[in-house]
Amino acid sequence: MTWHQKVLRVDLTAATIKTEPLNMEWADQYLGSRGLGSKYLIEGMDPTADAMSPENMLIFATGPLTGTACSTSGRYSVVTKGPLTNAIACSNSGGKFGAELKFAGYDLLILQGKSPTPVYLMIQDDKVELLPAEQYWGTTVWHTEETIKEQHSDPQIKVASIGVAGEQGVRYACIVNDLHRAAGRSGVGSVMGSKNLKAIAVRGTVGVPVADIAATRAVVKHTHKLLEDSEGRKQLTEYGTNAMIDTMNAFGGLPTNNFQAVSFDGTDKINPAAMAAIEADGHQNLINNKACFACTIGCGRIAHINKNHFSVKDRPRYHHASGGLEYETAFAFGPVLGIDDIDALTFAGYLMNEHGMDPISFGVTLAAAMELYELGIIKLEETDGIPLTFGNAEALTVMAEKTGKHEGFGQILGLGSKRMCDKYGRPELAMAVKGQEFAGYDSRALQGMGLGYATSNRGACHLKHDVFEEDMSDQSGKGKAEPCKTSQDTIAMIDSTGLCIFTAAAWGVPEFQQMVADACGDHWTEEKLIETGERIWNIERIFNLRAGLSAADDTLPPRLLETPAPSGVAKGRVAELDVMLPEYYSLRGWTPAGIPNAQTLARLALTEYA
Amino acid sequence: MQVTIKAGGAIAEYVPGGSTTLDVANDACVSTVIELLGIPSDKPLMVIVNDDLIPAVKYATTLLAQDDRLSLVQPIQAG
Amino acid sequence: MQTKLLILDANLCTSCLQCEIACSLEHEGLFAPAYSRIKVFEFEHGKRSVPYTCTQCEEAYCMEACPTSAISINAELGTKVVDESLCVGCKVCTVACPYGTINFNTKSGKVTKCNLCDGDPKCAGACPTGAIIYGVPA
Repeated sequence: MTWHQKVLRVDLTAATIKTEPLNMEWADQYLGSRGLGSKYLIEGMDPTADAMSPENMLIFATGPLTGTACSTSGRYSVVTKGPLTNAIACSNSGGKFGAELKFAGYDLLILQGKSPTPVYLMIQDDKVELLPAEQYWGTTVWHTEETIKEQHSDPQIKVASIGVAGEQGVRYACIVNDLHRAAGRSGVGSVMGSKNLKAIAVRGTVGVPVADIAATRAVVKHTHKLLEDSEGRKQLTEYGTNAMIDTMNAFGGLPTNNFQAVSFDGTDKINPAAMAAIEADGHQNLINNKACFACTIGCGRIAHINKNHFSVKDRPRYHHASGGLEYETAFAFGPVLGIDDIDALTFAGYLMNEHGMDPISFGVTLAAAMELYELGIIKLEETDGIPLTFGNAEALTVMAEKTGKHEGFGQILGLGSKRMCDKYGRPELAMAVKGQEFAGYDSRALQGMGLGYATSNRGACHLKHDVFEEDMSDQSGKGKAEPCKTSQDTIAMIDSTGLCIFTAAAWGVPEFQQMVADACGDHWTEEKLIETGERIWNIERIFNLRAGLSAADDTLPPRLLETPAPSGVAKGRVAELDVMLPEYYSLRGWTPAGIPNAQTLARLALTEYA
Repeated sequence: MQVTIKAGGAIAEYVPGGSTTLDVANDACVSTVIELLGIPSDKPLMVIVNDDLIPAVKYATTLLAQDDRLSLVQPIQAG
Repeated sequence: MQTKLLILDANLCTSCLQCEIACSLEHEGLFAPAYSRIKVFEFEHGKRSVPYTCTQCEEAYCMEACPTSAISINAELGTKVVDESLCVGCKVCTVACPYGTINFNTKSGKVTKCNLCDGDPKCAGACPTGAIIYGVPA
């Protein structure tokens, strides 16, 4: 078994650190990572508690396959109540931090309470300490991570930390590990900030046990080969996730100018070809590919900004290489803002990592601010003299930095689109569900995506379902509920293994079954994995219902429900949520009010939550 | 007649610069363009003509008209 | 026949550490990159990732320095191999090695170094990008 059967529990109020046995009964019902973290959360806190209060719990959860030789095994989940959504948040991250936590001998790290003064948690195998973090408070993620390594004289330490955005309660602040990987969404960084916890640093030499080396080697070899040979994997390796931008643009599903349009003229300037192109002065945006721990795909890109670009011209501290554009950052700083300046986009990406913010939520919030500005509702006096017009690259770079530092109009942008649009009396302009902003797919062109956005337990999210194939072959809402539901359950299972969902390009339930059974025992059948995925989806739903959310929150903004797509393959269509949602509730075994019915609870062994 | 081509992702390899204008016969269909560009038949492909998605089974029967806009991209499922 | 070596190409390395995982499984029987004989070093936010291990150098200062003759040459593979039954953990070899690729293992109290897995280096087998190849250098 790959579990250490050990949980590290830190009470920040009392400054106590304890270890306790992992609840193996729960591990058997919820698998690990996202699922197991959700179980610990609902059992450990009152779902109605304020997300930024000491009562909220912050859980770093590895999966049974985290830190193993299975490809993409670097992943962990941060599970907490999200301040952006007031719903359950589970933000998943790669890099090397999650595996290192496992190597230190812990399956889960649970933080509760609030430290009276800024601290960071230092984990070196059995030696765990809360150390003063005054010297890091008010500084960036990059400074914090690099300085902690220096102070402890160990470059192999892995750090997950927050920037000023997380300290100051930016609603979509994230937790960044390994400089440019992040538990990105729902504001989990601000939960960390509210606890006065600046960083978690880990060095692990315990490792992960292997029961039967020959059997493990056979499973790893088989699954690696499948992944290596798959077309989807090859595309991700060669072009990165940003290959999607050309596809979505051609399809007419690329949200542009705050979702007023569905295609963008400037994609040629920000797509993978543009990243790889050598510019007139010899500069090339893309440097190389970068993988997370144990990953065969390597979808990450390392890039640098042209030193002559206005954003960094006099700022040599940004002339180094760092994480480059992915599809979601390209979308959230590009089309949705009407901007096609690749260096401005790359710089904004740097700033998100340096200050610890979710690029999707920041970009879509700025998009709403730009629409409010162009409508004359937000005035130049409020925006620190920067015209927030669509297409203004300077507005992107300046506002990204102001939001990261919580200065000037950045404080308004830090509210997120929902709270900001409410403040200006135009709530319909927030492109969000449950307060969380959309990713780079328009719900009118991709109907199953729209249903997934509406029903995702953490607010609008593109990563909790996979209906691409059905959405790309048919533009109606018919028949989308079933693949949406099924893929939600499968992905809940994959997220709970400790592996990356991009492996689904090559692996289905049978492959995950082989790996999980090798790690946790042969009683993990395909049926049990699928049922576990469904149980996880329902326990998240139950948390949200207890937190006060209801079916009324499973909706989309009127722009997508009422205004037909202006062009593209879905021209003239609106999001057909009225068709899909009742069918979805019924398939889930939920009442028309979106509540799991008695049979569903019994079937999933969840009757205690009736 | 003339049609305009815009290619993205891996398909851009077959269209220097990513976009071009092609002279094709009046009875040209989607297949004609795919062959003209030299895109292998086993290459994952998504074709959109103006605002219509063309399923692969209709490449040979979808006739083109003057000034049609063809987008040829990869059908990607992650991002 | 020329001796085969690990050919390391930093230009192809993505820092996924599958080499370190495979190495620790082979030599320690668990997943623990901390004990890997091959290490990947990252520079400038991942601009460059460099895999690095024992070059099996001809001079073999580690072997020369060892006071208990615990390090010997495997003539067939050209590897310098540590005999754990002879190693007393004095660490003189770790000081003698100019490359820092022979290291003290706190668990065993002995030193460890790359032995090319007796001719089937697991790091090369695990590398997905071709950054680590076991072959005869051109």
